[in-house]
Amino acid sequence: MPGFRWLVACGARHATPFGSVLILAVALLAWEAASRAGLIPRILVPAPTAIALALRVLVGLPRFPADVWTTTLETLSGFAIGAGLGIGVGLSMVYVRFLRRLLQPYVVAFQVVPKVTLAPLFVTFFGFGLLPKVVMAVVMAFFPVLVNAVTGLESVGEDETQLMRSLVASRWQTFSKLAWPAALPYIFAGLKTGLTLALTGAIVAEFVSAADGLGALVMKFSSDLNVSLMFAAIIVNCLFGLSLYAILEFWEHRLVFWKHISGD
Amino acid sequence: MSAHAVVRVMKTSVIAVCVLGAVVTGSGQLGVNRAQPAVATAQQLTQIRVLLPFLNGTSFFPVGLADQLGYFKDEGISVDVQNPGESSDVVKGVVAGNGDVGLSLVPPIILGASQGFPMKVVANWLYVRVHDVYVLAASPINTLADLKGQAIATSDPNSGGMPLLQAELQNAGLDPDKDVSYVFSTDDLGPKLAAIQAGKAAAMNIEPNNQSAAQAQGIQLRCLTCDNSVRNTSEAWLVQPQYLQQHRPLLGGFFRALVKAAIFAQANPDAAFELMKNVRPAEFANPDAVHILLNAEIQSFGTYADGQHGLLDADGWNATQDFLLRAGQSDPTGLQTGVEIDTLIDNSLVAEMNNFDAAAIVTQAQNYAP
Repeated sequence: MPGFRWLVACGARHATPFGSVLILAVALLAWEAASRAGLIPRILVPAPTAIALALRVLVGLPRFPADVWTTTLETLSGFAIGAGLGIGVGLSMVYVRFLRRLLQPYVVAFQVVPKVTLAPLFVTFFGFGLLPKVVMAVVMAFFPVLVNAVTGLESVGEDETQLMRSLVASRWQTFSKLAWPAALPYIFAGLKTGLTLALTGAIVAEFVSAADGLGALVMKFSSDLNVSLMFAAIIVNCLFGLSLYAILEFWEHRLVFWKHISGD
Repeated sequence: MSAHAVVRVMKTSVIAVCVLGAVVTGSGQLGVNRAQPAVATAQQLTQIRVLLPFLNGTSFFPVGLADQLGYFKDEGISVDVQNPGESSDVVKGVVAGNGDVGLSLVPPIILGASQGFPMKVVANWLYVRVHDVYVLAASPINTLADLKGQAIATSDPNSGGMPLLQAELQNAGLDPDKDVSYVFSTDDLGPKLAAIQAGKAAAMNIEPNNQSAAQAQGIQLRCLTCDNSVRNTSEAWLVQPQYLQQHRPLLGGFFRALVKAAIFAQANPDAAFELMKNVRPAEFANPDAVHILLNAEIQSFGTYADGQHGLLDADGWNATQDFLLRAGQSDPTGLQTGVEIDTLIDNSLVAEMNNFDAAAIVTQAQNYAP
């Protein structure tokens, strides 16, 4: 069938974006049809059109900007502190062997704790308001950044290190011109994971105890049995996370430019 | 990407979407069709899954007590009690088919019905309010309007008490989102009291178990909402319409067992107290508080009219709905469209649930020895 072959050839040229859009369109159509036919209970999953209408209502709510701002503040504050601590502790563990031996078991132990279970404890420890949510975001962001920072700093090859020694480079020069640039791609990978986890932590903490924020919105709409608005709030959470991720990716492209030039 | 690869990706994508659709549909169907009670034991008891908005215990003493006294077994029933969360989770659970019968506060039922979710309310539970707003006795706060600019300590934002609290605040001339703030904590009295004592909240929205705990600790409280006339509709039982159609005698037996348990407790509260220790032993870490709570709960199990337990008051339901609709006028996410209350509530089981020899139950209670 020449027409089909043309379509496939055209698709081959624009495969990735076209394929992604096609998958989404087919899934949405199938979902809408199933919902209208009553095959999917509305109490479980509303139709896409209902969610779209709810999105309009949601962004028009007077409280919506304040909720977005609250979650943004919690996430970015927690991420900044958690990432800073992760990089700082990572540097210390790599360059101070004694600290590495001292802290390693605790790092491993804390890594395996399911941190979302700490949210109710943090509310008890730190009370109400923003603090428990920020602490939750810090805890969630800290470990991936730490692990990646340590891995990145230790990824420097022995040959490169020997070269710097042969050039009589100082410790600072070896760090700033070799170790740190080599670690940056790993650190950014950790930052991207840490950022999404910081958002998750902030929202989970809002589930436990919050009057505003995107997580509190989800809980409010769940309480009102407004499933469409609940899904709309979840989508807003998702888009919010994607926006933060995209901003971080932009900065990664700027700061770790050599990675993308080499096609890695 | 080559043409073959594109075709492969497209075929895989279509298959994946179809499988996903089948899985979602199948799980939805499983949820909707989960209405056939399973035979639970060798004694041919039929199991009913009961969803409660809190842990089974003194707050829902007829459920635990009926089980302990064998009233469910007498009706050929065994109960599987689950706590999916708060009232709105109970409504969702029943509508989704994860429970056969659920107990919920009235506002989430009305909110769910207004969304078009199929349900029938078949029996009333309490004729007193579940949540009321309290302040410390020495507080300068005298009315809800005085709470402008203050915070209210309350439970889970998903709590069924929130819609009514927000409607109460609007009725008092306040904007619940702007004029007051909320301090959310667990269901216990402790965190709410700590919030007030720390100056982070001026009032608390609490349930009878919290009121009892305060009384047991000698803490004097004052109620701001106890004179609200919307009291005859606080908590009620709901089922799916098809479950009511298919299992009417079973439901009649279930509610009859609950009413018997309530009458037993009213006739001999001490025996009820002892029997409840087997339902949730951990609750009895503070037996004084449990004693106060149980007495309060027993007193709240009155009847509405003609001495019939479980009768649903249509006027009360309409009044509650009007209350919520007024609040929804300034909140686009609140109740926007009312429901036909006469279609939602169904009193057809009331005669059946009251069809037993109450005097015999009283005699049994008075003669009860563990």
